Formats: sequence, C-alpha cells, structure tokens
Amino acid sequence: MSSEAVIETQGLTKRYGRTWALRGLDMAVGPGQIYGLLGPNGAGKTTAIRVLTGLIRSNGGQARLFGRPAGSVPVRKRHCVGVMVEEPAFYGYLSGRHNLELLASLSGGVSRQQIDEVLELVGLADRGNDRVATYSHGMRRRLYLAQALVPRPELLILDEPASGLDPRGQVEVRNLLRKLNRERSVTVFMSTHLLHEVEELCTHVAVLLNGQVVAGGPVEDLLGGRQVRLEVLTNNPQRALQILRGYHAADEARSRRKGVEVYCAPQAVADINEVLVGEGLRVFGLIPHRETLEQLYMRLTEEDEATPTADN
Amino acid sequence: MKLRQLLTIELHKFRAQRGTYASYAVLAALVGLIVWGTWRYGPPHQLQSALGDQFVVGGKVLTGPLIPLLLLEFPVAVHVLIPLLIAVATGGLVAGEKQAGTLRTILIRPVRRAAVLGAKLTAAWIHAAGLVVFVGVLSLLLGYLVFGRGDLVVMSFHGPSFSILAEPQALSHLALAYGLAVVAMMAVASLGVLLSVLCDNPLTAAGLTVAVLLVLQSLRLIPYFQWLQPYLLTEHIWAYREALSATINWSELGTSLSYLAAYIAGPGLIAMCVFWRQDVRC
Repeated sequence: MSSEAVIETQGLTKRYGRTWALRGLDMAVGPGQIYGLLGPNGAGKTTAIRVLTGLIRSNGGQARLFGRPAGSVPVRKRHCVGVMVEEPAFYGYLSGRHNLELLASLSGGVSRQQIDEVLELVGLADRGNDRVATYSHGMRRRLYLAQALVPRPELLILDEPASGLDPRGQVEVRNLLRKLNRERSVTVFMSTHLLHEVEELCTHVAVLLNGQVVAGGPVEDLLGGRQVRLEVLTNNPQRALQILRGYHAADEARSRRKGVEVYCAPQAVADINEVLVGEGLRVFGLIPHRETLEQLYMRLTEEDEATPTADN
Repeated sequence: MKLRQLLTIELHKFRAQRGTYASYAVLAALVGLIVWGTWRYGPPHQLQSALGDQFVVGGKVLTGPLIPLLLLEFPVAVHVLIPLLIAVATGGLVAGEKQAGTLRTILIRPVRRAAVLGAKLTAAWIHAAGLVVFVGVLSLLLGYLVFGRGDLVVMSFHGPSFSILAEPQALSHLALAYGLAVVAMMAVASLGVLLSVLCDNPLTAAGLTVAVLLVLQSLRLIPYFQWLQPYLLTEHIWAYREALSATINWSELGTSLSYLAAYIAGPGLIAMCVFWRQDVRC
C-alpha cells in the first residue's frame, strides 16, 4: 500500500446478509486531492464511507486512513478528519451553536470565535442560536457540514455534501470546499450524484458500480485526456471501417449512419487521416468529440442498469 | 479522556429532555398520593392489624420516616414504576440515538466506542440513582411536613412481628435501604442499556427490559424454579428490605450486594463487547 495516500483501500469487501455492497474496492486518495466517488444508488458509495469512518466493519480487504487501518486510527489523528455521512442528525432541542459546542468538545474543544467562524462559513450565522428542531433540511445539512469543519480538518470525508441544498447553497458548498482545498490544503473525499459537481470541483474521480471501481483517475484523463470519440466522414464508410478495425491506434471502430466512429488518442487523429488517404479514400471530415463526464458515466452504467444492486 | 465530555453530553441530554421531568413528576405524584392516602386512611392495613388489639403504643405511628418506608414496601414503586422509567430512559440512550441518527453523529467524532458506551452506562446509573434518591428525599420531606418527627414502626418481613426504631436509627436504616435500592436500580439500568444496544428501536428496548424483569418476577412464583431464585436479579432487588429490619443480617446483605454488583457489571460488559463490534447503519 502507498505510504503517501491519505485514504487507501485494497480489495475492500462488505456484505449485508447475502448482498455484497463492496466487492473488492481499490482506490487511493492522495494528499491535497478533491476526490469524487460517483455511482448509482446502491453502488456502495455510502458503505465505503461508513467503513472508512469506522461506523461499520468490512468483511475483507483493507481500508486505511493516514496509513492506519480505518477502524484503529489513533484518536489524536482522527481530530484531523471531518466527516458527514448520510442524513444530518442533531439534538433538536438544542441550538445549532450548542450542538456544535458539544460535538467540538469531543475534539478537544474550540473557542466561541471558531464556532462563529464556522457558522458564518456555512451561512448559519444568524440562525446559530435557534433550536435545530426549527431548521429546514437545507439548514441542517449546512450545520452538518459545519460540524465536519470543527476543529480544522486535514481530511474531509463527505457523503453527498450538496444534496438537499438549494442551487445557491450547492454553489456555496462547492466554493467552500475549493477554498479549503486551495488555502488550507484540505484533502476532500466526497461521494456525489451530481456529475457537474465532480467536473467543476474534483481533481480525481472514481466511478463505483456494484461495489467496485470501474473507472478512476484524474478527472482530466477520464474526460478525454486519453481518448476522443472521432467521427470519420468518407466516401466509402465500409472500407474505412475495415481499415480502422485493423489500425492499432483506433479503438472500438463501428459503423454509424453518417460514417464511422472510433476512439483514439487526440494526437492519432492526423495519423488516421493519413492512413485513410493512403488507402485511396476521400476524407470529408474528422470530427473529434471529447466525452463529457455525463457521457462517460452513462456509458459505464448503461450495461449495469438492470443488475440488482445492494442497498446503500 | 473523552469520558467526562461524553458524560456531560449524556447528562445534558437528560436535563434537556421533557421525558426526564415527566419521570420525576410521575414519581412525585406517587409520593404525594401515598402521603395523602396515609393522612386520610391512617397507617397501612398490615401495620394496623399487627398493632391492633395486642399492643398499646405510646406516641404516634404516623411519622415522617414512615412515608419513605411505605414507598419501599409499596411494590409498584421499586419493582414496577422506577424500573419502567429507567427502561424508557435507557431505551433512548442507544437504540433511540441509533434511530435518530445522533449516535452516528457522535461516532464520527474522534471518540472511542468504549468511552461512548461508558458514558451512557454511567449516565443511566446516575439517572437510576437520581430517581430512587428523589423518591426517598421527597417522601421523607413530605412525611415530616405532614406527620412531623418521630420513631419508626418497622414490620418484619420474616414473620408476624414488628420493631420500633428510634428516629436517628430509623433514618440510618432508611438511608441504607435506599442505598440498596439505588444499587438494585443500577442493575436494572445496566440491563436496559444492554437491550438498548441490541435493539434499533427505543420502544422495543424499553419493552424488552420490562418484559425481562416481569419474566424474572414470574419465575419467583413458580415452584419448579425455586432453585433458580437465589440467582435472579429480581430476588436481589428486594435486598433493601434487609436494611429495614431492626437487626440487619449483614451476611445476607453482602451476598445480595455481590449479586447486584454482578448484575451491574455483567450486562454492562456484554453491552460494551457488542457495541464495540456493532455496525452502526442507522
């Protein structure tokens, strides 16, 4: 296992009764990364976070935080980890501020000023003294994020942090996480359903399906840094398809209504043109398309749609 | 050490919850009813018939210390009502927090599970002790207020006899009896916390705690299970009665205390082991 990774899992498995929620999860989150965990409902995202935060025990494999097994990270190191997992839950009969003070006391305590700062950060400065029972769902989620920020974390593990927030709230949370990452070098590991959130915020992403990572790495690489979808328009599509199927730099060549489609590296586009022209074909157009995260996600999850999955 | 902070949180929750005040209100009402009933009716029937035609007692039978004694002898208080209130409170301690999700909020903080449950157990014991001491102190105060000072006539539990304890002696016997009742209720609290750890629903946990106590009580009534009787929690809950005798059998008291200590520690340790490995999915 890498000694540099802040979070690392190897062959992590978790079973609820007969249902496997994690089937050998492998991933590594480096320091300073904003790592997004994507996947449909039941893919195992929340289960992975539960294991990492010690709420549940895995059935096999390894999960490590700061190089230590997730279940036995020393308490003093856990002070550096801010967590929000699943729905927010607070003592409704206490104020937001009082809830934060009680929870912060378990992390060695924080000053009143720090509580004020955090409430300000999450946009609850004017409602901090109200009872949580009077909060809306969105406000509770903001308070949930606030508790993860006291005391100052080095690592944030967040389960759908922007879920349940209004559009402005979602933007504010993204900006806040970006700011924490940039200014305080906070590593962020978050699960989400919001693809644009990952595209805008994350440096790295893993797509989880049936408890396994099916695609992962730097977001730029996944979004066409390695391959583009190339639309090839020629006078003889059948012949072009034959040629490209045998050409090493082109993957998944297939016939389309208007021509041929292949996946290739961006720098291979000129080579493909040369090969086709060299074979005597007239090339009318070579149109490269970079795959969006949404297209990638849909392509990866397409085959999996009908497969029964674990309860998250 | 996080235990102190966690205990502060637990006790704060008890203070902030209406249910806690409702529990004390119910007990206060019970004490009030017993004082009022005694004032209107006179000494309890058993005491009246024991004294009846055979003795002439100088002074008065109805005195302040008699009320806390009646509360202990009145089985509904120590054997039903207080255990029920403890069961409701302990049900909420773990199962209730699992259901509400607040247990998750605590466990994602940098705390050890042992400290979390240790704080909950301690809070449950303090709550149990608080209920018993409240009944004792309130009944004594109301007793003094209504009936004034005086000696205490104590019925024997072993036969048709009674003793008269001078007031200072009566107070020390009552203090010991209530102390033993505290220990007994702490054992009930431990059982309640164990069942709360095992359940995900606070009502189920509370109901199960009461059900277990009722089953154990029922076993006392079935001759076939007589051999089991010396080991049952419900048998040793009665240990406080020994302190109400004029001459205390310290050996018997020691044995009961040992069993109660085991009933406090045993379920607590089992709860700790289960909680340590338990998946928190709620």
